[in-house]
Amino acid sequence: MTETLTEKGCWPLYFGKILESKVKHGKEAWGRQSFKTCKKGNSHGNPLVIACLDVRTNDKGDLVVTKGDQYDVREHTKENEVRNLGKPVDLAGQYYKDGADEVSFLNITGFRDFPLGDLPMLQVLRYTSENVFVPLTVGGGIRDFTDSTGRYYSSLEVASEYFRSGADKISIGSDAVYAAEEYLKTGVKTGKTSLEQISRVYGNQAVVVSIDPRRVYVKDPNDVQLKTIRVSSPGSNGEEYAWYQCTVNGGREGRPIGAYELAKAVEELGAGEILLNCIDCDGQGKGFDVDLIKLISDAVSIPVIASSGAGAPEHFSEVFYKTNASAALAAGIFHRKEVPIQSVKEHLLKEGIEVRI
Amino acid sequence: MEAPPPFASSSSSSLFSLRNKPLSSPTITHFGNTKPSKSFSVRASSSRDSVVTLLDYGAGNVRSVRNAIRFLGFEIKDVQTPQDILNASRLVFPGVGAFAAAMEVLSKTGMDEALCSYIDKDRPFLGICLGLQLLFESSEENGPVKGLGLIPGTVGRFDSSNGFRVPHIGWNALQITEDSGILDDVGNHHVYFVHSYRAMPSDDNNEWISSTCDYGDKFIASIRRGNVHAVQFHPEKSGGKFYLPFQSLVLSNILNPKHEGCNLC
Repeated sequence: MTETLTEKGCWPLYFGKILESKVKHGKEAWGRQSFKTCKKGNSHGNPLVIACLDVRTNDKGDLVVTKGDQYDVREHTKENEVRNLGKPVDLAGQYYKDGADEVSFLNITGFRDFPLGDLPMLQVLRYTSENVFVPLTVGGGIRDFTDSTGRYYSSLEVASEYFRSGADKISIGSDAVYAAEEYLKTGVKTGKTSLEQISRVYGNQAVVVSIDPRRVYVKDPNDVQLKTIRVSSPGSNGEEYAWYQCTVNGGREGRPIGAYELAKAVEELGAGEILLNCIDCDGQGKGFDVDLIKLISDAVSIPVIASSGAGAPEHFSEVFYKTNASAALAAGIFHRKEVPIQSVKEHLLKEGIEVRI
Repeated sequence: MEAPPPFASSSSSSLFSLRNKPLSSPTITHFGNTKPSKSFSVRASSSRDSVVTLLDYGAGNVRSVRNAIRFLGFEIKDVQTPQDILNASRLVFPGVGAFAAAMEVLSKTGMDEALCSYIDKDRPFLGICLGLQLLFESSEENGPVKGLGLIPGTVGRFDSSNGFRVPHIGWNALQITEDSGILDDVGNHHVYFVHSYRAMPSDDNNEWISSTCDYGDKFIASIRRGNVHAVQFHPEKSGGKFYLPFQSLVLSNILNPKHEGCNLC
């Protein structure tokens, strides 16, 4: 069964098998009821598998899908060129056919090139949404800016353009860090941050906050004012604790706020979901940072998407077992076809974790 | 730049003008999408069997719904005036955004009365998400806010105190309670939900309910009365390997009403 699953034509068979389970469990086998019978019982929903495309312009100006290694997207060759993993629209279509529950675009040049001038990304959304009928999220560069002609655009206008082009959700990174810092300092919701404005107009569910934290080991939890946790694998100097420092500008700049503090603050400011990355795990393929994901998914009541580090189907079941993550996202392993989306879902089902097939 | 995908709809060319729309000042409360060209209107009225009237009050991503309708081979006519609703042979109302904002736009433009009248006459209708919620008496979203009042009940927020995450985002199965026609092919397939508010079943609205879903509480996933359908989930986002036929059915059954005695069909 396992081997034939990915072969063309075998899906209906597999599907038939799923239907049998309905008979076994009775009328509500596919609702919440059956979920209680699954080994996994703590996420209160069916976990999602999300395929992410890191999109940027290469040095020739073409929009390509790339993938970083701890956020470095350049090949280590003499030319030092941007890694090219294919064209975004085609790849998104492929992921949709492969069974991705959502497709996420991260415009990783967003913070340098203003988005409204970034027409290729809008075109990618328009073309993709014509044939991809699962939710599309786009992130990168959603903030207030003044273009080269001196015209001011609010982040809401930028987001509106993304929504109009076919995005169902937008994700905010750096801007949300500044908003949370300000909110924690003053205790006042100004209503003027991009996060608040966009969620007010488009609804909380349309705003994802993307957190890019880096692990900072400490010997003693009292060394910092921020939330620390005991980590599963100690630091290089034997430190048993760590906090997770938020970064901005694609991981280039650390900020004086932890992922825990940020997550709680953005939930209050109106975020509908948290996309939780981890720079230490990015591109490593050694699994998600379960410590971090557990910390954050227990701290908030909005859905948390686990990201960074997926290298095998087992990493997905691990994160769903050990944390309250609602979804898990991967980019590199799907891009490089190391692990097809079907294999991940097949594995999850085998492990008793109910997913859409 | 990529070439357009191979199976893009070839119809309703005027809507594709959006693609090349210059980045004018983005207003978010505009009604309708852009101005459909004259040639489009003429063509639409000349082939009314292939036309779907779309009520888009401009508060979110309706492009996916447009794409799904076009994917199924229909042309889209955008509602510009309340009369367009009354003249529609099939109406899709993909509500997006907040309840209060939507009601405000509907009542300001007189669309609310047109909608009620259209639905009262049992004309083919498909509401999606907020398009279902607005049919109820009121919503607690930033409210209470009065709705269209066609279905008894109040739309309330999911209770997150029992550990269920809000918004409810994800794929769930339906418990189909009544033969709904549009749900025939859904069966046990999962459909996509994204919402923080939901309507609950009660004795008063029981006769409207065609399916429910469990997420902490049992909530109304779809309603049906005659030719009037509304779904809390997103058929346009419930694609996936098995959902194209389902999707066609959901939309096509609505879009190809087989009600007898109707001189519009």
